[in-house]
Amino acid sequence: MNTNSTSDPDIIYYYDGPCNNRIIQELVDKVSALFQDDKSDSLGKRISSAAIEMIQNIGFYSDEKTVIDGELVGIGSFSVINRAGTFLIETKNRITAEKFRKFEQWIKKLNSSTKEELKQLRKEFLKNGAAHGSRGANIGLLDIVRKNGSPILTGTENINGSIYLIITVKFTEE
Amino acid sequence: MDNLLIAKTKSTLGVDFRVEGGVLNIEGSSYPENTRDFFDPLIAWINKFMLEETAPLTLNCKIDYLNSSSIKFLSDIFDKLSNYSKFGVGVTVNWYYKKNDEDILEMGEDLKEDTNLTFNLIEM
Repeated sequence: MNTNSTSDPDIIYYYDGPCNNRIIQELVDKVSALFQDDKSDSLGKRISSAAIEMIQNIGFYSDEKTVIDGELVGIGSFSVINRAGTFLIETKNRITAEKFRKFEQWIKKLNSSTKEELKQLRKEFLKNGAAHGSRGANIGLLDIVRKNGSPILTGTENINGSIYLIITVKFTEE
Repeated sequence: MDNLLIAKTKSTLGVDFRVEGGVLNIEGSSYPENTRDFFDPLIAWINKFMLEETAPLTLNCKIDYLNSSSIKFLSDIFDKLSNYSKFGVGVTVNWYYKKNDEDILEMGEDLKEDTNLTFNLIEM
């Protein structure tokens, strides 16, 4: 595990390691403490909600796993960045090329949908259930785009022949 | 049939389902590691209640946060309650939200839109 150990001065929280519920709880406590005042409470809640989904996604879907308490847990990194009042969440985890292609298509669909289209898509998923292989309801990232109103950015990094998926979400005060 | 009582934790809901009076209370946050493991007993309890009881049912929800898979399971519970109400049994959902908590209000509005249950949005 590696927390708060990066040279970027804008990073206010950093974690690199297995992503299970203990980490999520630690993060929620940290974010809540950062956004205590009423003015930014809504922003803090949006960031916390998105963070929970994004860390759980690493835990479920990262291609790099370890065993904790008999359970396979995905490994990845997670940062909260404050760039002059604009907050970013960035996650990075190993992924297969095939999974990345599917994921990229899903994100393109989300980013190009209107708020109403996202709402309808959400209804369909809630009615018909999660897609094959999904641990969640398929609406985690959909809700992030829908509530946040800004696109999810994706990219990859090649490290020692492995592909790492990078997801960035931007948050501003409403 | 027994009541169902589950203590609230940081990542799981507090549950207080009472057979007598048909009052079901859930409160807190839900982002369990395995959502199905948490919600299966709740759904089993509701199924049993619907089979064995004919009393009206009230579900009180005081939610702080639900992750996406928890929303899916709660939506499934509403579908079950909706089927129960088709037998002429009164089912009421009271969805509580804190002032300025737009996320929880919006979540309640979305769920209300998709159900034919009596669904009250109540500011705390």
